[in-house]
Amino acid sequence: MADRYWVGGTGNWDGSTTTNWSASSGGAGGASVPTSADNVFFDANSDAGGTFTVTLTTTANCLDLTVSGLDNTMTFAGTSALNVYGSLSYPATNFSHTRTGTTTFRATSSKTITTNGISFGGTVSFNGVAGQWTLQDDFTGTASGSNTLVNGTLALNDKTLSLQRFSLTGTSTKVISFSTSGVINLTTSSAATALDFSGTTGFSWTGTPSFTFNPTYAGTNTITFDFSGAYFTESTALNVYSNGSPATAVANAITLPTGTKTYFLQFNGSYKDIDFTYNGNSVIGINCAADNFIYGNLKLPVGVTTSGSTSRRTTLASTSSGKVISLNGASWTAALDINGVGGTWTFGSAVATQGNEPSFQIINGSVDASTYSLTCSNGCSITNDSLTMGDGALSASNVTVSSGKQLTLGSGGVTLTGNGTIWNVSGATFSVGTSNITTTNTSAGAKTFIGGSKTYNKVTFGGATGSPVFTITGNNTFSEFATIKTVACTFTFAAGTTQTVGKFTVRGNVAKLITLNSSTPTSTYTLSASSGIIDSNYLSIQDSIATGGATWYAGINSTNAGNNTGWIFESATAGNFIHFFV
Amino acid sequence: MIINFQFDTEYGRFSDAIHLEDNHTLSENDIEKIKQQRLTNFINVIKASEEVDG
Repeated sequence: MADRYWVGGTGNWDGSTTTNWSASSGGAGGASVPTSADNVFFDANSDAGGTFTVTLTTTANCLDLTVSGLDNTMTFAGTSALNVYGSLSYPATNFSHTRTGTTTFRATSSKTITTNGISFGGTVSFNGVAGQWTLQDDFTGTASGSNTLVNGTLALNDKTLSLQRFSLTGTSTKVISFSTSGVINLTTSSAATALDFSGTTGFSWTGTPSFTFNPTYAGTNTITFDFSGAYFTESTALNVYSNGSPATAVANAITLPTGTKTYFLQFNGSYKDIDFTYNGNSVIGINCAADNFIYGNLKLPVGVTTSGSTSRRTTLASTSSGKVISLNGASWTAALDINGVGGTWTFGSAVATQGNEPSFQIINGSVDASTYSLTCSNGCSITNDSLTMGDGALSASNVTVSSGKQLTLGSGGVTLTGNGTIWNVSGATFSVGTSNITTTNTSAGAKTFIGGSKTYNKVTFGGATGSPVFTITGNNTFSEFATIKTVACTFTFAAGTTQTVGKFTVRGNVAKLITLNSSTPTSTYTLSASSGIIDSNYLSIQDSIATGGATWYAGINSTNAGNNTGWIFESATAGNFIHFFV
Repeated sequence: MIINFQFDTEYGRFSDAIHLEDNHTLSENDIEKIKQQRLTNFINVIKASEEVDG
C-alpha cells in the first residue's frame, strides 16, 4: 500500500501517465499510477498555481480517495469509471465534481463516505463482500441510471441517500442500515422504476426504513416502486405515508408529493404495514404480482387501484389484536387470507376482494367488519375463529363456515352470487341478526343451501333467469321462504327434513312452473307453518307434507305429483270463499 | 376525517367509509361522486360474479 498525491495541476488520470502522481504532497511527479491498494490525495499542493482539472480517462482504482485543503478550485471531470476500495472524502470548498463516470465502492471492510454536499453525476454502486460504507453526511447522486447495492452494508447513519433511482441486484448478502432517521430519497421524474428491489435475494435491513419521493416533482409520469424481494418481518416496519401527512407519519415512510401523477407500488414480499395516508390527486396503483404477507394494518388512501393476478393471495398474518383493514374504495386484486393465531382485525371501510376461490378466507383470527360491507368476487370461507358482520352487506359467490366456527350477521344482509354449495353453516355457530339472504345467480347451475338447521329471516332464492335446482338441507326455520325467479326452477328438500316457515312465497305462473320434490323420491320432507294461509300456484309437488297449523293452498294450476299430505290443490281465494260459507 | 355512508340496495346494505386528510380539498360534489362510484363498484362486482359463475 502506498500513498499517491496529485501534483502539477491539470492532467488526465489514466492507466499509464505518471506525471501527476507523487509519493508525497507537493513532491516530484513520476510515481506509479495508483492501484486499488493505494490511497489517493488531492490537496493544496496539487495545483500549479491556479484552478485545475483532473480528468478521468480510463477506469481508475484507488484505496482511499481524499480531497482536502485545496486552495485553488479543482474540477474532477471525465466519463470513466472509478473504483474506490477504501473511504472517500470530498471537501466543501474549492471543489467541483463534473465527472459522470460510474463510481463503485468496492471496500471489503468498514469505510466512510463524506461528500460535503458534492453530487455524483454518474451512477453509484456499492459492491464489496463484507464491505460497509457509513455516510458521514447526506449523499446525492444525479445520474438517471439506476444506482445499485450489490454486496455489503450501506449504513445511512441517520443521513439521506438521495438518488434518482436505486436498486438491489444479485444474490449476495446486502444490508441497508437505516438507523433511526436515515432516508432513501428517490428523485427520478422519468417513467421509470424508482425503487427496484425485484429479482434479488440476500437482502435485509436494520433500523427504521424510510423512503421518500422528491416532493417537487410535478410531472405525470408513472413512477414505480417495486419492493419485490424485500421481505420484512413483523418486527420491521414499512409504512407508507403521504407528503404532508399527519404528525404520526414521521418515519417508516414512502413519502409521495401532492399533485396529479401516477405512482405504482409493487408489494410482493412480507411487510408489517401497508399504510397510506395520502391527500393528493395522484393515481396510486398497487400491484400484487406475487403472494404477499402483511403483519400489520392494510390501510389505503382514496384513489388507489390494485392490479395483478387474482390467483395471488395476500395473507394478513398478525398474531396480535387491533389491526385494521381499510381499503377506502379500492378493490384488492388478490384474495385476502386472514391467518394469524390470536390476531384480530376490524374493517375501517368496506372491503372488496377480487381474488380466486375463496376471495376472503379466515384461516386463523377473528374479523369484525364493524359497520362496513364485505364484497367477494368469489367465496367467503371461515375455517377457524369468526367473522362478525354489522350494518354492511356480505356478498360472496358462496359462504362456508366450518363446523364449530362462527359467523355473526348484523343487518346488512347477505347476497350469494354463485353456484354449487352457496351456503353452508352446518355445525357452525351462526347468528342471522336481522339480515336477509338473497341468491342472485342467473344460471341454471345447481345450488345447494346447507342451512345447518339454523334460524333465518327472509331467504329469497333469486336470480331472475336460469332454471336451477335449489337443494335445501337441514331442519331450518325461515321467517319467509321466497323465490323471485321468473323462469321454472326446482326446490329439492332433503328427505326427512322440516322447513319451518313464517311465509312461503313460492308462486309460479304459466311460464314458471316451480317444482317441489324430495332428495329421495318417495321419502317425504315437511313444510311447516304455524298459522295463516299459504297461497301458491303453478307448483308441481311431490313427497311433501304441508303442516303446522297453516292452510297450504297449492293453487288450481298446481300439480299433485304424488305422495303429498296437507296440500289443498285449490286456489287460496276460492278456498277461503268456500271455507267462509262452510 | 372519516365520512361514513350507506346505500340500501337489492343486494343488501352497502356500507362504506371515505377516509380523507383533515385538510382535504375535495368538494361536497367530489365526495358525493366518490360515494356513487363506490356504490356502482359494489353493484358491478356482484353482477359480474353472477355472470362469471353463470
